[in-house]
Parts: sequence; C-alpha cells; structure tokens
Amino acid sequence: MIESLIVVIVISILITAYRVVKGPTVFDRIVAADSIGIMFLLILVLLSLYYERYIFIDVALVFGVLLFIDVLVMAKYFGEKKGGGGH
Amino acid sequence: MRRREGGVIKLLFDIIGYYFIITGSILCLISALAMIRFPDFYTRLHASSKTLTGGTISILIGIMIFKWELFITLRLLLLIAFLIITNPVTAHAIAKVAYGIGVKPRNIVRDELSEKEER
Repeated sequence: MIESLIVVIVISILITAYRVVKGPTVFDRIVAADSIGIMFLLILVLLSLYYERYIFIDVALVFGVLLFIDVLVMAKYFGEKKGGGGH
Repeated sequence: MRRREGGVIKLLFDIIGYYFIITGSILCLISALAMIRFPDFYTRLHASSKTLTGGTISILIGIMIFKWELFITLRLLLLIAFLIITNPVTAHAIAKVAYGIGVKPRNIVRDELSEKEER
C-alpha cells in the first residue's frame, strides 16, 4: 500500500520536472523545483514508515529548513538582477 | 505498526490513516497536473502553494494517526507547523519578486498594483 503511494508521488515528481525543464520564465522553474522538494520530503516521511526507521523524519525536517532558505535566496538574487535599485 | 493489539481500534486507526494518506497523494497528483496545465505563472504558483500544502499536511496527519506513538507525533507536528509557516512565505516572496521584475498575468483586466504605485 505504502509502495503504491510512493509510486504516485514519484509520478507527480516526473510530471513536475517537465515544468522545470520547459519553463517560460525563471520563476516557473523556481516554483516547480520548490514543489519537487516538498514532494521529496513526503517521500522521505513515507520511506520512514516503510522501512520502520525514523531517522528519516529528522532528515525531512532539515530538508524543509534548507528548502525554505534556498527558495528565499533564489528569489532575492533573481529579483536584484534586473531592477538595479541598490547602487 | 504492529505494536497495538486492540483489534477494532487498530483497524479504525488504519482506515482513518489510509484515508488521509490517499487523499494527500491524490492532492499531490492534482498539483503536478496543474503545474503543466495552467497557462500562467501566477496560477501555477497558486496550485503549487495551496494544493501541495494541503496534500503535504494531509499525508503527515495520516502518518501521525497511522503510527500512534508520542515522539513520531511530536516530530510530525513540528514538521506540519514549519510547513504551514514557511510555504506561504516563499509563495508571497516569489510572487512579489516576479511582479517587480515584470511578469504580467495573462488576460489581465485591471492592474491595481501599478495604479497604486503611480499615485
């Protein structure tokens, strides 16, 4: 049962990776990569249930923190690139 | 998974947990379909923010009910609280940056944010 749900989420990741490859703007790619990260976090939690090994939930917590910082830093960098507000 | 011995109660907890986990994975699949079907950046951001947050929280609540142990429940509650706080923050930051750099919505009727900035 858990295996088939992991397969469903992997299919979701493969569908979302299409938007990462073929995004019109760079923000589409950032948002799609953020979605892939959250789905990967879900796969980690489901794998901890499948293998009965609960260190994966701690890995998922740290992964969530890194994902948050990652997206904020990318948004700040690509926002400053064209605006030229700060001299 | 096999630690509880009560028959009917365990079956009930399993059914509720599987219900939440299946609902969450279907929401993840809907979010992935919306990422390739929606025409615009802002609608894609909407799908990625709301639907995926709902699916994630649903799967984590399902696992919390499925494995009814104290420390796993506390860790999953911490993860749920963190995702509820951070996911709208990232969506808002990316939407504001994308508007500032000039990504316009498709079929826009009236742009109230630019009118407010001109004033």
